[in-house]
Amino acid sequence: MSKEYSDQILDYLTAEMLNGPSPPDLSERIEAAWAAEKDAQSTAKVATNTQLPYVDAALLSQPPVAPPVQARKKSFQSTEKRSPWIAALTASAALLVAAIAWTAWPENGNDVAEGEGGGGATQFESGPKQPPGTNLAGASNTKKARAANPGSRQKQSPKKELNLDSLPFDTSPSGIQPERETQLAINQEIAEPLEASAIVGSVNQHFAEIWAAIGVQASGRLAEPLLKNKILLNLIGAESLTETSESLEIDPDLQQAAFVQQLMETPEAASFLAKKLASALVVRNPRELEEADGTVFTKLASEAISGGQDWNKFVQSVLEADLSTESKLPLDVAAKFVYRKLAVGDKHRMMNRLGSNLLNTNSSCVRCHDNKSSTSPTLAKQESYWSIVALLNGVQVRRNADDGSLKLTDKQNEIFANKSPVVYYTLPDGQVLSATAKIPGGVDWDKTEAGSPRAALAAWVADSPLMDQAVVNQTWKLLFGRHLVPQVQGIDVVAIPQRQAVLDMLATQYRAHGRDVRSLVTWLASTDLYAQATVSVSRQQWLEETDQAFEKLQLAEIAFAVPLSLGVGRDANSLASSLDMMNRFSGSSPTLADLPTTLAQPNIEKPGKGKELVLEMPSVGFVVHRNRPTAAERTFVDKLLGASELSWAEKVDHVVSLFPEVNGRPRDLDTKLLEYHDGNAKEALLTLLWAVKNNAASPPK
Amino acid sequence: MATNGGVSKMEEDSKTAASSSGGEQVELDLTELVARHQVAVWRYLRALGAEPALADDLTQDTFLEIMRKPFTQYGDAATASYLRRVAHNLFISRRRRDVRMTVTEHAEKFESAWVRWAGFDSGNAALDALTDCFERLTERARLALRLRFSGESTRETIAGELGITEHGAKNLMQRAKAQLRDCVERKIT
Repeated sequence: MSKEYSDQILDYLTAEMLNGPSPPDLSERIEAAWAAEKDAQSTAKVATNTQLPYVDAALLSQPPVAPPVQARKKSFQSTEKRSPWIAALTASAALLVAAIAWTAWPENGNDVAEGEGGGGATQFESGPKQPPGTNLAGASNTKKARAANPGSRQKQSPKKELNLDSLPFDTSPSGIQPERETQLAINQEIAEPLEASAIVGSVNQHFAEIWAAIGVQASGRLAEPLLKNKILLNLIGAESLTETSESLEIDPDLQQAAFVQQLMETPEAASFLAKKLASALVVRNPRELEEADGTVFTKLASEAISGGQDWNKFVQSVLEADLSTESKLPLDVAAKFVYRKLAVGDKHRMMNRLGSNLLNTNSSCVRCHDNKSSTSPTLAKQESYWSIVALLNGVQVRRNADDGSLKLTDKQNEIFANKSPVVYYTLPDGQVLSATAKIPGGVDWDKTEAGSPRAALAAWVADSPLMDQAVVNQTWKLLFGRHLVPQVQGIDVVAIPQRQAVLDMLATQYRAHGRDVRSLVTWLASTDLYAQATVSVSRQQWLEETDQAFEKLQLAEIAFAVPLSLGVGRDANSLASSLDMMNRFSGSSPTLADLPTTLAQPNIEKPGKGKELVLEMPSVGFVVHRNRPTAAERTFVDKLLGASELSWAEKVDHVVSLFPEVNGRPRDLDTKLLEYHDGNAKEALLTLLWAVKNNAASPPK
Repeated sequence: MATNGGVSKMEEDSKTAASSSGGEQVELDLTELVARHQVAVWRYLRALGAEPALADDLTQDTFLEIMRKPFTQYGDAATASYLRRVAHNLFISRRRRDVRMTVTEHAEKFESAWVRWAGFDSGNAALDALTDCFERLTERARLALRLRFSGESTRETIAGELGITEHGAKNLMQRAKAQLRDCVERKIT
């Protein structure tokens, strides 16, 4: 417990003990104020109904204004009790005066619910736009102003707003401008579908320009048989070119693009892709797809892909399907599987999965504060996040304590039957606000054509350009090991604007081609990037190369000029292995200390009798970052540690959530890292940042 | 609380105030809510730094705020916590409006300290413990604290009364408060 705050409380209690005053009984006073407010509300309704010509009906429909303050002042200054009708009369008079003043005020004659800076939002701002009469409203008017102008809420605490996501080590220009999302949607609406060769050529050209600009060279093209093997392995999971070509009746001598196109027309490719996309959509562990419901989902997905169905619409149909237990239709069974996986944990984990899997956005930051560096301005507002949480109210997954199974419940019909439930959330400075169920952009779900809040959200998601980007980004990751554009700005800073342009182009064409994921995969697997040869680094090179050489290699990796396969060893890509590797390589071997390199050297322990010395090499990311987090990373961690509003667990979450592709395991490591660093929180967070970054950058083997 | 028309109105409104949110919920009785939590809210505001009159006003506003919005009551502790949060918001807003500094920037830490000291019984146990611990202080320490908190005397005045230097008076009060804090914490935990 903080001593400072204990002392503050002790001071107060001591003062009360020695000097009073003791807490007064405010029951009657509160009762009178409440009664007066209710009466004033009734009066306002009557006034609205009679449509007085000189009173703004919108104003009268606002919550009541003066009574609480009026009642408070009287009852505090005098013990004389006011009868409710007098209070009501006073309140009504005050309301009328306020209304008349409001309508007469030249700058506020228009709607109070205008955008930011409108008349309704001036409670904490300078007074020019505030009509004199509204001062009567007192504290109640604050609420009214907020209700009339939700956009003004964040303005109430500008000095204390956290901005942890504008990472200081982002040296590139921001990839997304506020108006970009809208423009993207317009572009996609009007885009003409291009020929596949034009799309592939455009990707090749973009990356050739990127490599030239940053001074890296591509690793060269794979030999044709190796390339075909790679294509088969990645697209249908087969290893033998000869056997597979025969069984699928594909000519192995075809050129890259033609070979990929033929392969993607096979049912095997559709089935394989369905599993990969389904896995990216809802689960981290592909084995979960082997559950009974999971196979139904992948089967439907496979049919949708092989039939050339709009993938977004397919996902929409799953997300809005019936979740009741009695329904046994395949689509409903698949929907229950998807929601069980999406909603397991709590609603915030569900939001994280929705954001990263369907909307190409890391939404975990927005839970606590607006995220200025979000990939989506629409979803960058804390209010949007909580509106979606409200929208998903009633969809819950709970684990059965007896057998550990997950039970999905959908109570939306019941909860939304009469009115939308309200959710409460806290601003960085501790203020509590409320949000109602709205789709991003601020439209109430019941104003849409959807039959349920879930369906409204599903329709919005499927039609959003963000989902197009998400599908492209995920598909890119399936083929290249990493997202084309990271979901958090500022971590991977190499050529982000140019890569974003490629993502936009591909997302636009994906939509223009009827969101056929087979076409998307065909384009990507036909590019020159995909045909790059892997670079291998010998053990001697690992030990002797300079940092500069590794930095250049890493730059080439990040820019997709070199396929990433540099981590060696059994599980070099796993987080645990990365950490273990770091610990073992953190020392300096005397026998290797004189080598012309600044690399971290391993602590070589003598092998036991009969055992060979096995020296695994770390990944490039480790080598480049060993012992030297960048100044910007240190600044970021300092900033995080200085955010006293966040608990330790939230700080750890913040670091981990920078990389959505890393699963929840790092959260379990925080205590061990603290112990490892003798309780040094900064070093622990820096290690964690390095670990998740390194892990996220490594492709699946 | 008097059972006039206002009360029945409150009770009637309380039925509509309890929102359905899918979880187990206890119907909100606003009359009971005020009776049960007003002392805690008032003390919380005072501990935050509100003057008595402001604490009165904000306590009233806190309950009015609760009444205006749908509210689900899951239990006493959750309700008390929510009320404190609303009270804290109102306090911050008032301070901003008055262009005055907020007393604490670390709402969560203050909340945590408050829960430890007074979260479960409005602070009565802490006050009882404090009264007991206060009697265990030396006469000079009690006098110094009485002068400080009752008379709001300056440190110079207190030093003069006790016949010690100003620095000595500061040390004496610091030690006395540390003793009090340790003693109360032992008793309430």
